[in-house]
Amino acid sequence: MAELWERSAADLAAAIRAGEASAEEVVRALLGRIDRLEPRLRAWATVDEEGALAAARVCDARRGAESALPPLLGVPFGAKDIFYSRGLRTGLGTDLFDRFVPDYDAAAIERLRAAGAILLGKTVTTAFAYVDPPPTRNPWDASRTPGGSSSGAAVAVAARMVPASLGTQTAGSVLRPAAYCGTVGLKPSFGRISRHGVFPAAWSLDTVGVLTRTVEDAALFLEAMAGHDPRDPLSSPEPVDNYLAAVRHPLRAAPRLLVLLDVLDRASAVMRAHLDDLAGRLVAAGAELREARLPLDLDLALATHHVTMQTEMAATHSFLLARHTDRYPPRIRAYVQTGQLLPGAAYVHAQRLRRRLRAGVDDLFAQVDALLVPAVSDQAPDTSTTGDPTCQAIFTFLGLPAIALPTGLSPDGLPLSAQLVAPRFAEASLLATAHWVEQTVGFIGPPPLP
Amino acid sequence: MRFDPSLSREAVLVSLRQEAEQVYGAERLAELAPFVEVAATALWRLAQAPLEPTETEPDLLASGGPRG
Repeated sequence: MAELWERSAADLAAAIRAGEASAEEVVRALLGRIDRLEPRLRAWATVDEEGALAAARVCDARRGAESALPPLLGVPFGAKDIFYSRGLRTGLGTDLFDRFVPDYDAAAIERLRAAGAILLGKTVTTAFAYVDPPPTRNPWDASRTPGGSSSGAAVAVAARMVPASLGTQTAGSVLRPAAYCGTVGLKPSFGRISRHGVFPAAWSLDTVGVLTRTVEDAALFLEAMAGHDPRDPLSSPEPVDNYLAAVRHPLRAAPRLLVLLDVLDRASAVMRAHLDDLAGRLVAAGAELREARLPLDLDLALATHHVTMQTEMAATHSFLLARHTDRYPPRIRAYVQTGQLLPGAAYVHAQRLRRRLRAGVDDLFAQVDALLVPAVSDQAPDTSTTGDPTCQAIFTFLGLPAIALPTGLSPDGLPLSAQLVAPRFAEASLLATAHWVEQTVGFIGPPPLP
Repeated sequence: MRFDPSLSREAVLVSLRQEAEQVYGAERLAELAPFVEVAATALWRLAQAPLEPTETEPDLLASGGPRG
């Protein structure tokens, strides 16, 4: 029998519901794991030991007293430290906010608590979710970046400190750390999960996602959080599908996948070899594989994302930066100050190109279930950077759901990750395809930790 | 800084660098330089993708709406 700290969220939910483990035992097991590993990995901004144990006792009392139990009863999760958490410090990765304690929960946390989940603490984010390197260490190799900006979320999940953690993605901040740390990283469609109570980076790009170790857990958490929220003006009214059913029922036929060569061309030799090998294994299992190119030059697509994100982040930070210029970390300060100089006409032109690109990419899905590309261009680089967003940013820009899957290890023993991308709001199909890949090729095991 | 399709990549970079120096001071240029360079390249790339006035409207609300 696996230790409680290494079990998936779905396993823990089932064990707690069946009375095989108490929520308090689960929380204590994870707190013990954090005690052992946190000095080395620095994944957490705040661990709410007292709050989590109190919530666990409430869950255990509910199990004895209620017949209809919520789906995540007693399951602990972490949240990137830009999600507001009621009564718990929310530091945004900067000492500017080191005493900020919100008086309400972000919508995503609120919905997870309503589903019975327990907030174990806040995971490290890069400052304001940008690219200044975090203190967090990659559990596979401390000389490598864990990625960012959801750095602590990826490390905490990979290191078995918590089965799931919330992240956000504006360029590649869910999938990239997930890929570098060897976890699943799901970024749903733009507007699928409310961003109410999440500190913004760039409004037309920011997307709430989740990092887990299995596709089923990603579905479980998405199902608990998805849905319209009038407090987020860009939250979508699109109906929510049954994501758990999508992964728990086998696909009727092996999926049809499309490899985007433009993205594959940007990957390292190691990553390309891995994707070739993976594609071969998927075809051998019955998948149909095609190849295509983007309808727009990839560099142009990345430039449109760049101008959009930098202009919007300049707007987000202009007033705060003016008051605290000397206390801003250097990279986000320089990025915002440069963004303040970009002409408005360029931003609007980028949005026109965005519509054109979206139409072209939508057409690519006409005869396939998902795109198959590398989640990252290479294995994790050194700690001077949080990594390259080339393979993720374009799909964030178009608001498409995407998932990173830890499908292999490099000759250096570092995680390699494939990415699946689906049409907007086709998360059920994306998760079903991802689950098929998981069942077909298997995922890598845990990092080499005590 | 003008969004001007007739400018070369080098001209866009020079223009943005000059504006950065004017606004933030010469002592900040070293810190800003890599960000100015990337932004200038992005602006230049956008300016090389012409659209006629009636061709495509901006996607200002991103992808928040319903599918289709």
